[in-house]
Amino acid sequence: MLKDITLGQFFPGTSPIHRLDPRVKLLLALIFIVVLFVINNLVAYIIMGVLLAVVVKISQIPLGLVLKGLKPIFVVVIITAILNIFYNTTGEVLWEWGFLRVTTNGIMLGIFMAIRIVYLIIGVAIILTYTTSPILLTDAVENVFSPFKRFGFPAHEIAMMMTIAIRFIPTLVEETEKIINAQKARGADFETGSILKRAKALVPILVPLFVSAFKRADELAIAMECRCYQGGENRTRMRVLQTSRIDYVAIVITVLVCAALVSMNFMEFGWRA
Amino acid sequence: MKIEIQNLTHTYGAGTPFVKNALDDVSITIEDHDFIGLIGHTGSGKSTLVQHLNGILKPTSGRILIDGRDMWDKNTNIREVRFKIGLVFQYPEHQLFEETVYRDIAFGPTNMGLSEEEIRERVLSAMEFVGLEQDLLDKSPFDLSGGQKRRVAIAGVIAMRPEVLVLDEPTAGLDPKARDDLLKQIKKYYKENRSTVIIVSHSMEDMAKTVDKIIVVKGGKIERFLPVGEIFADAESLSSMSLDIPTITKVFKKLKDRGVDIETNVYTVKYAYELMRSRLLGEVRQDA
Repeated sequence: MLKDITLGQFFPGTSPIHRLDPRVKLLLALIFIVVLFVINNLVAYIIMGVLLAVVVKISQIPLGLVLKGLKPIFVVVIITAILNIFYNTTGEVLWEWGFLRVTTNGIMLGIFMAIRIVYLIIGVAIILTYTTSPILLTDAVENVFSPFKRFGFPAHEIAMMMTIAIRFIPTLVEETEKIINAQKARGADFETGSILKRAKALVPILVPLFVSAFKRADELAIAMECRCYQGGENRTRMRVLQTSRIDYVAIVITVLVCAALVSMNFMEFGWRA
Repeated sequence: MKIEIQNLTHTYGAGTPFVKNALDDVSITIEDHDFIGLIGHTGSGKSTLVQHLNGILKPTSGRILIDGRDMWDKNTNIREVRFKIGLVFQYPEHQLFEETVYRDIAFGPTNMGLSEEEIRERVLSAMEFVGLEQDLLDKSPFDLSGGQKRRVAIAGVIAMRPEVLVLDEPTAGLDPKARDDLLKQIKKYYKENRSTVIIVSHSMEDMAKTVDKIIVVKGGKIERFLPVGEIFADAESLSSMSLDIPTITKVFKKLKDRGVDIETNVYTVKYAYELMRSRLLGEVRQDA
């Protein structure tokens, strides 16, 4: 059941998207996020959706995995959409009850927010993390933030913490599953009873999980000390990040597309919020 | 309690790029009061197989019958099955969570809905069974040594008095003394309760001196299901499955190869000692 969470996992491959320099991917993801919240009409969102689909196709991620990745946030999307419907009260009033008012603009805003979250997950959580190994991703983060080191920003340490955190997600998931099974074998019941009873049923899982997580952290720290691990000063890398032609092509395409989408904001279109 | 496994297949990660067939069309019948060792290489499917026995894992296809009843039939209460078939996981000490040893061992019996006195009686007898001193009752399980923690965890399953006791590598990581003690206690449980016991292990030595029958698993399939003697008699095919025979058996096979007239069905040091002793005494008597 826990293994069903695919969000944030890496799926190895050799597609052009996999081969992009992770720094470039990070930068493009950032541009994508900004543009996603700047554009304001349905036509631009539809175009963006088509382009996202094309990128997913190029990256060779199976469609099933994309849908599986979206499943856990489904509830969040629905709630956000509903809240946003009541947020904008301008435009034609369709329904009114006390202080609640549903208007055409409100509905558009709700739809837009839902689209934005779904695109955000597809673009960043799925395309970026499914195609980039966590190690490359943290290398990229360190690289991008390293200019700020001279102002005392601990770029290497943050990247190292990210690496360790990401590295241990699958381990902890596996551990949790093992503990759940072990307690189930002793007749633990997580599925029935009142909310309070179910919350109490979590104790036999959480206590061993915390104990082992702290123990692991301690052991890891000792193992790193034993190998004389010392921050980021003067460390060289086994894999030096390099940009190539494919990266420039990706940058140019993304920038052009984004510019076109943003410029649609200034044109006369219907269906905007 | 008779357990019949019919055409059991289990697939991990169906629908992802990491699909793996952990068990492939396994059929086997475990009779009442069997004492079985389950042996196989890392990743052979041993743990997956035992986790099907008490319904922790659900078969991808195939059936498991307990005394003729399908475990996953909708009329079967899977929790009841788990009380009857107790499974001790690998490194079971990682599942301890309570504030005192007593309460941790009582977790299973409490889930069974037993009365306070019944629970107390079971906890105390389970502790005695695994060789834990009574003065540990009110200690935190986290303050105990590794070997003691393991005993507490095993006692937690034994306190449920399962008719079938399954242990997944119970001796992993224990020192030689602790592991001998544990195996003896398991053997005692088998004899005194007329229950079925299944032990998963890597160690041929441990298996040779403990169990009656051995199941060899390889690549998600059952390769052998034979009494101990017949398993080790066929050393060549065992080594082709990258499994080993007990060292003492190797010694006797080597002796035979060198022309010593001696039997080779020797699987425990104890039996080897008796054999040699009677032989030597016999020879002395002949000389006299």
